[in-house]
Amino acid sequence: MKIQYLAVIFIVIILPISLVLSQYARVQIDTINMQTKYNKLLSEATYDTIKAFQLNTVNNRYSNVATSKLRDITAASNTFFKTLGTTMVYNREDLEQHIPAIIYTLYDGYYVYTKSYTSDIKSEFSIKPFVYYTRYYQDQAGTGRKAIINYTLDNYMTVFYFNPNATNDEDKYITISGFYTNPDDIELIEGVEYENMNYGANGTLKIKYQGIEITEELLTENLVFSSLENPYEYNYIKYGNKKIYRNNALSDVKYFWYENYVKTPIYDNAIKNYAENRRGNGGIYSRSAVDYYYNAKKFSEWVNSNLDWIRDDNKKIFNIPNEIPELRGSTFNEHRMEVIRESITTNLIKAIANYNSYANSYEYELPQISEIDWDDLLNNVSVITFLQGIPIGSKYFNDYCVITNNKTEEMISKNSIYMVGGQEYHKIGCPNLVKNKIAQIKGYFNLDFVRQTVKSNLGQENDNQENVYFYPRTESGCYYCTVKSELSYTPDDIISGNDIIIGGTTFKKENYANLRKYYLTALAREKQDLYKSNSFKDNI
Amino acid sequence: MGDSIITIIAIFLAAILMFIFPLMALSERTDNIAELSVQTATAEFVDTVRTTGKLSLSEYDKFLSTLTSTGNSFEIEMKIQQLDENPGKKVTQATSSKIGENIYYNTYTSQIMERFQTENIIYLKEGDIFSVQVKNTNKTISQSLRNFVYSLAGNDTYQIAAEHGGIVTVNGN
Repeated sequence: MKIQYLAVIFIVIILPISLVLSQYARVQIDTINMQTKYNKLLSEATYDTIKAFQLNTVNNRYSNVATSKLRDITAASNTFFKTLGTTMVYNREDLEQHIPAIIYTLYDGYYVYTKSYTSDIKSEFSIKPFVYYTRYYQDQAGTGRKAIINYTLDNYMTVFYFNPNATNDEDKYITISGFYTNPDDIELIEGVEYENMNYGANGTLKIKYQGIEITEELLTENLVFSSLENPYEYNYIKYGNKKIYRNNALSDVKYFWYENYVKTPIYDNAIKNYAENRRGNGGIYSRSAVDYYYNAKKFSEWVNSNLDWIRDDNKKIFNIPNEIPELRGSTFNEHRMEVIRESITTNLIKAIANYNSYANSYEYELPQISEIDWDDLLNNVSVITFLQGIPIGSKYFNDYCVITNNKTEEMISKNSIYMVGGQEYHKIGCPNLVKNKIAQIKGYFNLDFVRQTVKSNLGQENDNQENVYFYPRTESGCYYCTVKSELSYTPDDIISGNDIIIGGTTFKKENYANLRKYYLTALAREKQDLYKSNSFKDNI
Repeated sequence: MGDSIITIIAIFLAAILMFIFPLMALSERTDNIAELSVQTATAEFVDTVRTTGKLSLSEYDKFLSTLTSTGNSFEIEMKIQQLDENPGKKVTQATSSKIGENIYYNTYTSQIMERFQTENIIYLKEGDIFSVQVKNTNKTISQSLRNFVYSLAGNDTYQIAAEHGGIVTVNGN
């Protein structure tokens, strides 16, 4: 055969094969391209959701009331649908078929936003009732003791305890909440009456944590009003969820709330006495840090003696000596994360399986959530969104996105305290805090540094309201930690007093004792002042 | 005499048809798949850094090994733009009816690699911008085949490229 014929036959055989192969490769390429694109769109939409939630709750004075929070969550979910619908060019009904659930993990529980039947034929997206992070324990040894514990994202817990063998009837059922810590680290000082004393002159109201003295504090911040008086630093303490400010002028209005950009005077006698009892030279002092440690010690001692029998897979959870429960690797923390994880996974599986009853042809399944994402979920307020069932090339899209919220009123995380020293504020982890031994430092919550807006008509007669901006704290950020994020140690290091190594030099806990004292005081004060919607006190 | 010339031309033509053209087509296909894998890896790397706020040496090494597993060598350029809110704050404190502008500080690949020598993880904060650009530095098969058939002016043409970037959504620490 002539060689040309061989060549032509070869071409005739190879050409269709290569056409088919290139078509297949193109489909695969399209699939992966669309998957990457949808992943990015999903992550952008989830970020918008959490940003909307953050903006709504930070600026809302009543955001801790349950109905207001439900409105904020509905608003944030609408933002999610709107952003995703705009970027993917889907309308809302079509998009709803592909989103089985959105989960908002908050401080003491979570909300699931999913579709449910509101009547026999109609179904719509709604927020399911709040689910707490709880677990039920029963004594395996047969004494009949039972407990239900509600966990939160940090070391706060609520215990519902039943002991049938108690001597008095009223001791059979006990309900208390508190912060669980290691009570041996906290030392009460002789002669101080913690229950009755509201203010100790010359710093006599104090308590010791690992040998460090925790005392009362004087807190101040800048305020600007609609009338545009000169901004002045006002001294405040927290009451409930709001701040009581002390008036600087010599007037008969001694204390006021900051509401609607004006000084709203406080007339209620109970609240005035609350502030007056804490008055000392220099202003009104906050004793929340001392309260935190005192209450934590009482609560933890009760838990260690009464809940000692609780076992998880034959492992003891409470009353473990020499462990600090607030740290990441402690037994308490691991167990808490496992409880929350199990609760979220069970509910998610149910919600997604339920969603199959609304499905047309696609079968909804729960995607595998990676360990890094679980780590974020279990320690922060966050949003998880799922997107499933969109056809892309050769398969269906099935993915999720987890985004956490760092600046939130919901919880005080260990990283959210900024230390103010001189003209700058620092994050925990800044090498300058340890190396330079700044003498006057104080810790404040990171939301206190956010810019505030006041509406004012700038002293003119017309009705035009203009925006005036101010910062409650006027310090600027230190360039090492707040701009460049060069962090050399973690808050866990400060809490446990580990050696800190910066550029080859080792700093022991005695070298940064000042930083430790003020950080622990600020963290305790903010955690104690955080408004908690379920907190119970029984006589123990 | 004429017959053998025709035979030579025929053999030459057959060789081109049977070997060169399919090879060119398939090597371009390989390059397409390599480019796809590089684009996906780059997008995943940038999205991981954006959603966790941490740029770690181990993530970077994993990214590098995914890139080199396509069989080519690459040049990676990273850029971090760090947000500085202090100038905006100072302007607002001076005149309270204006909002000041924030500025960004740029950090490039060589500075990032220097930082990796002393610390394992670089933390980013919300508002920083992170972007990555990848180009191949070796000559792929399809590039050399194409240069054999027709040469392109300019030696710096690259065949496989990917880029991705975005705003960091979470504080790293």
